[in-house]
Amino acid sequence: MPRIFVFAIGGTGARIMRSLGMLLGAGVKLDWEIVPILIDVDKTNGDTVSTEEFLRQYVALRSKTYPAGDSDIAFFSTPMTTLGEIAKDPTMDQFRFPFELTNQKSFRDFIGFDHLSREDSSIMKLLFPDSFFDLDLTGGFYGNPNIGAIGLHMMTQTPQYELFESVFQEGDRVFITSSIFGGTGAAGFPILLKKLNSGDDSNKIKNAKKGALSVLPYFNISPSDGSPIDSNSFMLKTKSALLYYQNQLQGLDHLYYVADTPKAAYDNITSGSGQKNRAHVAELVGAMSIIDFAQTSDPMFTGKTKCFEFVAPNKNEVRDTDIMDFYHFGDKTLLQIQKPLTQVLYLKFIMNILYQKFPQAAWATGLGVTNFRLDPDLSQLIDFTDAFEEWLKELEDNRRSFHPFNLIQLRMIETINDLVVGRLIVSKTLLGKQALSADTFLESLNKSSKGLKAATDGRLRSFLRIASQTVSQIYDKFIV
Amino acid sequence: MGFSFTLRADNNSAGQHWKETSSYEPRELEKINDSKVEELSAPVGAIPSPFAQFHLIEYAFAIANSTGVDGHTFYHSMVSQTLDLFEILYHANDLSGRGLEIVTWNIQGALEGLKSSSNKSHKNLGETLDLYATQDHKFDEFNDIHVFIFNGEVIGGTSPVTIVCPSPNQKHLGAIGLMDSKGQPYFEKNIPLHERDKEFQLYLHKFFTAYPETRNLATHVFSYLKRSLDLLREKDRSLFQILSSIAGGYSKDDFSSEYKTIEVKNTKIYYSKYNIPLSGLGSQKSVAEGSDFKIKPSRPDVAVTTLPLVLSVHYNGNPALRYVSSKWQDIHTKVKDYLRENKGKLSYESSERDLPGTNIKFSWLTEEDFFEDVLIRLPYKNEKLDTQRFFVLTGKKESYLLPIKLETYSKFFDIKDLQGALAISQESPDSVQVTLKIPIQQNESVSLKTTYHLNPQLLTQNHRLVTDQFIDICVFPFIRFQDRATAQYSVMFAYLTGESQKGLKFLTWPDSKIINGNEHVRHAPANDASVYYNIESNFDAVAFAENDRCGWTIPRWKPVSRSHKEYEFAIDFGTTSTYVAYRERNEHTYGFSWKDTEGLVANLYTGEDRTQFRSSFVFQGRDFVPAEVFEVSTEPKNISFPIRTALSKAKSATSLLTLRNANIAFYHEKTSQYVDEEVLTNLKWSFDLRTEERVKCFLEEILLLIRAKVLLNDGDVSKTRITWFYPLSMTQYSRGIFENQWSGLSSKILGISTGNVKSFSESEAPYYYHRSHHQIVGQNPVVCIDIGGGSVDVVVFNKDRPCFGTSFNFGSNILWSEGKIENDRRTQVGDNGFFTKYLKHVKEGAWKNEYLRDLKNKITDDPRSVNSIELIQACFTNDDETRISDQLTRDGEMKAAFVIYFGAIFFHALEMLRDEGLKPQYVCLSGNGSRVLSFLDQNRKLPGVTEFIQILSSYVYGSSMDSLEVILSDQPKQATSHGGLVALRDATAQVPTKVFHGDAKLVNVGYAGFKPSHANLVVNRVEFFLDLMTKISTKFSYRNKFGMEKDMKFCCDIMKKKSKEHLLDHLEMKKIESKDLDEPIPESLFFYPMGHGLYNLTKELAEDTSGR
Repeated sequence: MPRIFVFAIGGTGARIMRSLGMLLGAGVKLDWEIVPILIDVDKTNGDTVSTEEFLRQYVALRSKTYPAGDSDIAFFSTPMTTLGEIAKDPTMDQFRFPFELTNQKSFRDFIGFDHLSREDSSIMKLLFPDSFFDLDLTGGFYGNPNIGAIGLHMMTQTPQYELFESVFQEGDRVFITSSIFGGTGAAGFPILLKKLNSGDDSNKIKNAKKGALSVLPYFNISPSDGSPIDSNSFMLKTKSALLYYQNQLQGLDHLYYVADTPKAAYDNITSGSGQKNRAHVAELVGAMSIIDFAQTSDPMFTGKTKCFEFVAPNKNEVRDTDIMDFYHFGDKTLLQIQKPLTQVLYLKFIMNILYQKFPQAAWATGLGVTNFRLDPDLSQLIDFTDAFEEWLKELEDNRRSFHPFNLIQLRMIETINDLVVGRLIVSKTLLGKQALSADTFLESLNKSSKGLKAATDGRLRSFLRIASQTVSQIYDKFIV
Repeated sequence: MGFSFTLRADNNSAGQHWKETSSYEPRELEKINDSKVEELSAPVGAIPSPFAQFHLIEYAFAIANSTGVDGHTFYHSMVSQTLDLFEILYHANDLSGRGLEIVTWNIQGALEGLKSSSNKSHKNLGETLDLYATQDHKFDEFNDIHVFIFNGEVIGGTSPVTIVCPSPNQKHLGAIGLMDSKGQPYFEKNIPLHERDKEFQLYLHKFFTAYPETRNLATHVFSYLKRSLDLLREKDRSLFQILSSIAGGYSKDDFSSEYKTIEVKNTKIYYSKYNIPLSGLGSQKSVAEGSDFKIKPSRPDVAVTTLPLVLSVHYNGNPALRYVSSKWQDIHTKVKDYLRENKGKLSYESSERDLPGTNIKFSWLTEEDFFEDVLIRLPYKNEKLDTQRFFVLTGKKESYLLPIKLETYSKFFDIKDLQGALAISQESPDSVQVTLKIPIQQNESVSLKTTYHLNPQLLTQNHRLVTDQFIDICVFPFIRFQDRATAQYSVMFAYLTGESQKGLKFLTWPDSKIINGNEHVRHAPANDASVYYNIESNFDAVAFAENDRCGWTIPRWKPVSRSHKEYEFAIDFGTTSTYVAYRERNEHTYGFSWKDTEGLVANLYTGEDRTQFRSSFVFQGRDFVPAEVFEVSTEPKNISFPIRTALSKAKSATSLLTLRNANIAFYHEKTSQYVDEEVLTNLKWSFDLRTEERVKCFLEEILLLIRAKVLLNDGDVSKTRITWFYPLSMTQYSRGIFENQWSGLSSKILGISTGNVKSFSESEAPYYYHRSHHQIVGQNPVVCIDIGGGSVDVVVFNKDRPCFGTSFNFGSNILWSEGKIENDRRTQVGDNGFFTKYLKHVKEGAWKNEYLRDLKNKITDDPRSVNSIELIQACFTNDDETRISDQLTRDGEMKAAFVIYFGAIFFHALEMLRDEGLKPQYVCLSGNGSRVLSFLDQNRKLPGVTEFIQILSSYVYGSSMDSLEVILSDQPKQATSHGGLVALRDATAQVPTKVFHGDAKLVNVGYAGFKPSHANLVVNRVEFFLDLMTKISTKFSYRNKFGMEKDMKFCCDIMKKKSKEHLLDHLEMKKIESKDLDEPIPESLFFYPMGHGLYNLTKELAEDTSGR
C-alpha cells in the first residue's frame, strides 16, 4: 500500500493530526498507509504530546484489529505507521522527530552570527531586526517564521529525515500541515517543501504528489504583556505570508486553506505543556483536506498548484453558524464524516451504557467478557472512545462551536435517540414510527454476534466486528 | 446562508466541501479586514522565508496600491521608508564621504562559502538560504544583493522584489541622522511619493522608464508609481504632465547621462543581472553648485567651484530661488538649529558643514561667519572721527568699528564693497542692528542681520554685545604704495588700558592675509597706552583686537595718481635746530610742512581737541608724527621748521627703532617729558656708535617724512633729490660718517642713488639764497658768515665763486656757556651771566608752558641739574612766554657781550679777507646765531650793524668801506636750506679752507709745534681787537646805536684778563681731543681766549646788574 507521509508541523499541525486520527479511528477509510511525522522544536508542547499519545493508541488498536490486512471492522481501517516501523528500526519507532535546536540558545548563536563574514552579517542585519538576534530559540520561534525557516532547516539534517528519504517509495505522497501564522508550522512548511523539492529531476520525493494544508487564523490569543506573540499581528502575518505563498510556493499539487473568523481567545501561552488548546472545527475541516488529498487519484493532479477551500453550505439558513452541527455541512462532507463520528459514539454507548445495563445479553456472553475494563484490549478501546468524546466535547465547547451531538444523551439508554443534533430519528420500517432504543441495539448486536469466533479473533476484534455491523446498520437505518 | 472556512471578504459559499479556488490574490488580501494592524507596536515577520523582509516590503506596496497610496497604515509607513531609501540612494553620491557604505553580498559566492563552512551553524544557514535563493524564482535574476550601511548601521539594501528594501529596524532608522531635502529625518514620517520632492519623483519615473525590466522585477513598486501619478492628475497638473511625458521616451542613455551611477571603491553598483545601474544625483557640487544661494563674489579671482552658499534665517526674499533641491522657505529654520548645535566648531571652508536640511557636506556661510560677537563703539562725537579716511559704521550719534570678519568677507569681495553692503540701525535704546548684504545668484542678495545689545542685563548666550573702546589709530604715511615692495608704514595705536593687552592687526587684500606688524609697546601705564607698528607691506584694513573682540576700519586710501613730479629737499641738520626746505624741481622753495588735510598721517580720532581721549593727541605729538607741521606759524603751540634737533626715545630702549621706540622730538621744549621718555640733544657733534645711531634715527624719520610728502604730492620718489649741509669745521672723518648716513638712508627709504644726494657747506648755501633773492648782485667779493649754535662758518666768494672758507667754534652758544661749548657735560659752575639771570627768571615765572614748568621745578630742586645752553634754548623756544628776545634787546647791561661777540667775528673775517687781498662788497649773515644781531639792531635792515661793520672794516683796511652792505636773512636758519636748493650749480666739491691766526708766524702751526711765544702773538691780536673796539666808541655810539649801557673800555678790560692762561688751557684741552698733534691747528686761535673772555664778561655784567 502506498503511503502518505503527513508532516504535521507545530502545535496546529499536531492538532490537525489529532483530528485526522479521530476521523480515521472512527472509520474514515483511506487506501493509503498514513505515516504521521510530528515536528515541533518545542519538546513539551501540549498539543504535540497529546497527539502523539493518541496516535500511539491508534496504532496499537489498529494492529490488534487488523493483524493481517483487510477486515470488515469499521474502525481503524486506515493503516498508520512510523518511519521506524517501516524501516524495521525500533530506535526510530516514533511519530515525532526528536528534534532540538542543538544547545545554542539564541538566534545569534544559532547562525554563528559573530563569526560571519562582513557580507554575510550585513545581509543578516538587513533581513532580521536587531531584536531577533537575542531571542531564546529553545522555546520555538515566537511567531517568527523567518527565523523558523533557518531553525527548522535543521530537521532535514536529522537521521529521521534521512530515514524518511530512504523509505520513500515511488507512488508515495507527502502532505504537510501547518499554520500560516504561527512560528514553527509557518516556517516549517516552506522549508520542508523546498527541501522536498530540492533534489534533481529524477528524485522520487521531488516528483511525488504533494499536498498541504495551511491553517489560517481561526482563534485569537489573549493579550499578554511582554509576550512575543501578539495576535494583532496574526492577520498581517497571514496576509503577507499568503502573498508569499502565491508567488513563491512551488512544487505543490494541492494547497488547502482553512480559516475561521476568530471567535475564541486562547490563553497566551507561547510554548510548553501549557500550550494545549481545545479542538476546533477548523481543525476537523483541516483534517478532511488530507482525506481529500488521499482520495484524489493521480490523474486528477495537473502539475500546477490547485487551491482549495472548504464550504459549509448551511442549507437550513435559519440556523446560527456560530454553533455548527452536521447539517451546516454539505452532503459530501456528511457522507464522509457523519457516519464514522456517529458510529464511534454508538460504540461508546454500547460499551459504557448498554453493556452495563444488560451484561447478560447474548452478544456479551458470547464474547465471554465480564468487565470491559478488565480486558486490556477492550480497556484500550474504551480509552479511545473516551478520547474521542473528549475531542467532540472540545469541539463543542469552542467558538465557533461544532455541536453535532447532544453528548449528554449518550449517558442514558432512554435518550440515545436524540444523540445527533438536528436529526429527528424516525425508523424507516413499514410499521411506522419507531424510535432508537436499547432494544434496537441489543437486537442488532445479538444478531451480529451469531457465529462469532472469539477464540480465533480475540475478544477486541470480535467485539469490534459485532459492534461495527450494529452501529453501521443502526446508522444506516436511523440516521441517514 | 452558508459560509466558507476562509479569510476572503467575499465569502462565496457556493458549492460544498473542498472546493477548488484561487490562491489569495493581493487584491483579495487587501480586502481582508485587519484593523488590528493599527494596534501593532512592532513590525512583524510572517513570511516563512529568511528573505521575509523583502516580501514584507513588497506586500506593503501591494496593500498601498489597493487601499490608496496616500493612506496611513503600517504598510504605508513601510512604503514610505522604502521611498526614503530610494531618496538616500538618489543622494548617495553625496553620502559616500560621510558614512555611507555599500556591502555587496554575492549570492552564489556567499552561499557556497557558507555551505562549505566547517562551522555547522554557518553550513545550516547557507543551506537554508540556498533553498530559498534557488527556489524563489526572483532570485534567478540576481547575482548580488547590496546592503547599505550608514555609520555602521544597516539601513537597507537592494531587494529582488522592490528594488530597495529598508532595514527591519524601523524604530532605529529615524535615529541615524540622515535628513531629507526638507530637513526632516528620514524614516520617521510617512510621506507618499506624490508629496515628495519633484526632482525625486522625476528620477523614479525615469528609472522605471529607462529600465523596463524593473517593472517586472518590482511589479508592485511600479504599480505604486502609476497610482501616484494618477493622484497627481488632480493635485498637480503640471507635474502630472511632466511625469507622464517621460513615458514617451526616456532611454538608458538619457538616464546614465543625467544621473551618476553609485560607486563603491571604484566599483559601480548594478541591480539585477540586467545591469541596471543604481544611480543618483551627481556629487554634491552638481546639486549645491546650482543653488541660487551661492555667493556671487566681486573678486574675479575666486575659484567658482568652491563657492559657498549664503544662508540666513532672516532671508525672506524671492521665494522662487532654488536652495538645493527645494525652496528655501522649507528649510530656513534649520540654519539656526544647525549653528546652535555646532557653534564655533565647524569651519565653513573645509566642507565640514552639512547644508541645512540635507546630508550634503558643502560649505555655506551665515551670520555666524561674518559677524563678530562684539560691536565696538567709538565713544566720540561723530564729527571727530576722520570718516574721510577711515571707513567705520556711522550711527546716528556714534560710530562703530566694522564688526565683520574681514578675513572671510575679503576672500570673496573687494573690501571696498563693504561700504555699500553694511548698514546699521538703532533698534531700540539698548540695541542696534547691523545688516550685511551679500550678493548671491540671480541678482539677488541675502541680508545677514544681527543685533548687538548694549545693556548687559539683556545679554544671553546668544546675544551679541556693544562695547565702548577709547582707542585711536594713526597711520603714517596715509597712502597706498604703488610699488608694494617699498611699502612701509608706521602705525600708532593708542588705547585706554583695560585688563588686557590690546593691539592691532592688519589685513592685506586681495590675499586676505593677516599681518601682525612689528609691534613695540611704548607706553603701558595704568590708564592709557600706546603701541607702535612697523608694517612692511601694503595693507587694506586695520582691526582693533583684544582677545576675541575685534573690530575693523578700512582706510580710504587716496586714489593713486600719476606720480610724475620731481622734488628736491635740502636738510640743514644743525646743532640746535634742523630745517628742511623743498621745492618741486625748478619751482619755488618752501619750508617743509604738511597740513593735516594732506594726509601724511591720518588719525581715526582726529583734531587737536581729542578731549575724550586726550592721550591720543599727546602720544602722537611726542612719539609719532604731528598731524600738522606749519610752514610759518606764530602760534606757539604749533610746530614748524626749524625744529629743535632732539630725539625722543623710550628710556628702556637699547637699540633705536624709528617711530617705534624713538622719534624726532617735535615737541621738545614745548611740552613736558614723560617719565619713561628720554630726550637727546646735541646729536651733531659727538660721534660714537651710540650717537651715530641717534643721528641715523633722526635722519631716517626726516627721510620718511620726505617720502610721505613726495608720495602724497604726486611725486616720483625715485627722482627725489636730497641736499644736506656740513660745516666747514667738520673733519673729513665726521663728514664721511654723515655722507654714509645720508646716502645709505636715502637709498633705503627713497630708493635713490648717491647721484641724487649732494652736500653743501653750510655757509656756501646762503650765498645762493641771497643771490636768488637779488640781495647780492655783481662779481665783487662777498663774505658769507653762517653763525650756528656751535660753529661759525665763513665762506668768501669772489666773482660768484667760493674761493676759500674758514670755520671756528664760536657759535652763538658760546654766549651762554662757560668759555667752551660742552653741552653734555654737567661739570660747569653754573655762573654764566645770562644763565644766572635766566635761571632766576625761569624760577620766578608762572609758566603756562608745561616744559617751562617742568624746568622750573627742576631748577628749584637742583639748579645744577640744568645746563646753561639748555635753559637759554628753552627760553628762546618759548619766547612767546619768556620774552627772552625782548629782555635781551632791552638789557643794556648785558649788551656789551653781544657787541664784542659780533665784533670779534667780523674783525676776524675782515682781517682774513684783507690778508687775501680781497675787499668785500657784501657781508651776508645767516644761521640761527645771527638772530642775536636783532638784539642789537631792531631795524630789520640793520643800519646800526652795517655802520658798525663799515667803521670796523675801515680800521681793518685803513680806508673807507662805506659801500659795504650787510645782508641778514629774515629767517637766518632757512637761508642755508633754501640756498642749497636754488644753487645754480652743484656745491663746490671742496672749498679751500684757511685758518687765520692773525700772524704769519702761526700759519700751519700744529698743537705739537705750538710754542709759548706763539701765545703772545695770539694774545696780541686779541688785545689789538679789544682796543679797536674801545677806539671805535669815539666814532660810533654803542649806546645810541645798540642801547649798550656799559662802557666799552670797562668791558674790554674784563675781556683781557688772563687771556694767555685761557688760551693755553684751551689749547691743552684741544690737544687731548686731537688725533694728530702735528696737523695744523684747524681753527683760529683767536677765538680761544675770546670765548673765555666773554664768559668772564657775562659774569661780571650780571653781577654788576644784580648788584645795582
